[in-house]
Amino acid sequence: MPTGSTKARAPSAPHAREKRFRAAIAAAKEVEEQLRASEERHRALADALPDLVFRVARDGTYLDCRAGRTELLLLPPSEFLGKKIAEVLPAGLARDLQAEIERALATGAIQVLEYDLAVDGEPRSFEARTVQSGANEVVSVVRDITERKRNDEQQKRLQAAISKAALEWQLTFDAITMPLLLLDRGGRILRLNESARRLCGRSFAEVVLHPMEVLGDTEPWRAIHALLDEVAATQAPAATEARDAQGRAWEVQVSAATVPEPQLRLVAAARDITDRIKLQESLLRSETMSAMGTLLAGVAHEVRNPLFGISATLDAFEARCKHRPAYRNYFAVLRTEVTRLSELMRGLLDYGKPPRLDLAPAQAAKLAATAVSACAALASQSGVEIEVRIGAGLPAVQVDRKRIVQVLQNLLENAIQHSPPGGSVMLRAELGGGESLRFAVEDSGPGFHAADFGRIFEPFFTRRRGGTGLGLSIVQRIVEHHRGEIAVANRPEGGAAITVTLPLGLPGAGEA
Amino acid sequence: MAVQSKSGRQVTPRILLVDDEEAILFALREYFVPLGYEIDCARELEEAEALLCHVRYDLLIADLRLSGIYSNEGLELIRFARERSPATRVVVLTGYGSSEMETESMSRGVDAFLHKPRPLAELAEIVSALTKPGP
Repeated sequence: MPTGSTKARAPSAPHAREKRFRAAIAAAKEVEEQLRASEERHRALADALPDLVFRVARDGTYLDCRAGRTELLLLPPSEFLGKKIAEVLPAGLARDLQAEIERALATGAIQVLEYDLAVDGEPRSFEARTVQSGANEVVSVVRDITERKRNDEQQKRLQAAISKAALEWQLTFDAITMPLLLLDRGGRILRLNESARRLCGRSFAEVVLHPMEVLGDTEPWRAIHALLDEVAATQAPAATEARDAQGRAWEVQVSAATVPEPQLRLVAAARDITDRIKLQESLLRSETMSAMGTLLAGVAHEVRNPLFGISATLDAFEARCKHRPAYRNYFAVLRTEVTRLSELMRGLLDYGKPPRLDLAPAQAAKLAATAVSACAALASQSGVEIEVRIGAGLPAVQVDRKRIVQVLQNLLENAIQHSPPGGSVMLRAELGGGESLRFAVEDSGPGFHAADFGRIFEPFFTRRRGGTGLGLSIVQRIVEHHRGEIAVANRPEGGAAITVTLPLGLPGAGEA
Repeated sequence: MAVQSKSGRQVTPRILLVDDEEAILFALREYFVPLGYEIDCARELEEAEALLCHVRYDLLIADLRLSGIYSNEGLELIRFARERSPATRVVVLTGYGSSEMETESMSRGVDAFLHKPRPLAELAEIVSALTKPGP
C-alpha cells in the first residue's frame, strides 16, 4: 500500500509536514478564490444577459429573479418574489408556464414556450426556456422576442406580397390573348403565355430553355424566329406580318428588354390580325366595288350583244351546214370559245351585281338540295360523290335564296373540280355561334397553297385551267351582302374547306 | 313552220324582230326562216310601231334597249303592242336584264323574258310554244 511507505518516511522530517499543511491551505484558499471569481463571473454573466432569469419552485413560487432589462418585469421583484405564478401572471399564461415547469421537472429536458404579454400596455412576445435546476425547482430564462417576431411577420408579409405580385404577373401574362414569348439573347424560350402554349400545343415544361425551333416551323413562330438575331444585335424593335397554313394573318413584333447586356431578354408578341385584314379588305372592296360594279355591268352588257350576234350566227350557220363534216371542227372550236366568253360575261355580271337582296326565310336543307341537284351532272361527269349532312332542327335563315343557292353551287362546283375522280365532296350545314347558320364545303383535293390564301377571292385568280377565276369572288360578294363571313382553310386530314357563316336574321340588309 | 289554223288553212307564223344589232337580226332571220316562220325586222321604236299598226304578228321578239345605254324604248314598245295588238305574244330578249326590268316587263304582260346570249335552239322551243294556235 502506498500509505505504508509514506508512514516510514514521515517521522524523519517534521518541518516537511508543516510545509505540506501550508501548501494545502494555500491550495484551499486558491480554490475558494477561484470559486468566488467563478461565482462573480456567473453573476456578471447573468447580469449582462438581456433576458429575465427566474428561479421558480415546483409549486410555481418565484424564488429568485435576475433581470437584464428591468423594464420587462410586470412588477418589481420585491412585489412578486415569494408569490406564485398564478398570482402574478394572467390565468391562461400562468397555467401554461406551470405545465412547463412540471414537464421540465418530469423530463429533465429544456421546455420552450412562446407567449404574448402586454407590458406597460405595450404588446410584446416572449420566449421562456425552462430547465430543471434542482429536485424541486427550475430556472426559466425569458427572452423578449418582440423584434424578431415583428421581423418574421414582416418577412412573411413581404414573401406573400412577392408571391401575389408574381401570381398577378403570371395571370396578366396568361390573360393576354395574343401569344407572347420571353427569350434569352440566344433565342431560348424562358417563358410563354397561355395563348402561346395553346397555339403551339406544348406545355411550359416541354419548351422552357429550348431553342425556338421546338415550337415548329410554322407561323407565327417562323416570323418571330427570323427577327430574333436582328433585334438581339440592334436592340431596336422589329415587326413583320405572316400568314399561316390555316389562312390566319399574324402581325409579329419582337423587342429587346433593356436589362444589362448579359441578361438581354427578347420579348416576342404575335397578334392575330385576320379580322382586321378582313375588315380592311372588305371596306376596300365595297368602296371599289360600287364603282367597279357599274363599269362591269356596262362592259358586260355591251359585250353580250355582239357575243349574242356571234353565237346566234353560229347557231344559224350550224343549223344550215351541220350535215357537212368539213365544218364540224370549226363549229366545235367556235362553240367552245363562245361558251367560255358567255360564262365569263355571266360571271362578271354576277360579280358586279348591286347588293340588293330579295330576303325570305329559307331552310338549309332546301338550299343545299337545290344547289346539289344543280351540280349533279358535273359531279357524275367528274366521278365525284357529293355527300350532304344537315344538322337536325336547324332554324330558318333569312336570305336571298337564289343567291345563296348560287353560293353553295359555286362552292360545290369548285370543290368537285378540285377533287380527284373517285373523290368526294361534303356539304354540311349546322348551327353556328351567335345566331348564325354555317355551311361548309369540304373537298378531297390537294388543298390550297399557303401562298394563295390572300388571293383566293381575288377576281380572275384561278389555278384551274379553263376557270374564269370569278366563282369564289362572286361567293364572297354574296356572303358579304348577307353580312356573313367566309373562311378558307386546309383540313388537317387533307383537302380544302370553305366555310360560310350567315346570320339567321338580317335586319335592314336590303339597304346594305 | 306552217301550222294548221282553226279553219284548217295552213298558216305561217309571223314574227316581228326588234333589235338595234344588225348581226342579231341577221342571225335570227337566218335561223328562223328555214324553220318555217315569216320574219320582219325593225331597228327602231317608230319602225316597229308602224309595222305593228299594219301587220298582224303572232309574236314580237324585242330588245329593251333600242338606242343608247340607258334607253328603255323596249318597254314603250311592249305597252304599244299590248294596246294595239293584244293577240300578239311578246318575248323580251335582252342583254340588259336587271331583275327590276324583268319584273316591270312581266307586269306589262310579256310572255317570256330571256337573256342574251342564249342558244337559238332554246329560243326556238319557246317561239314554237308561243306561236302554236290556242285551243
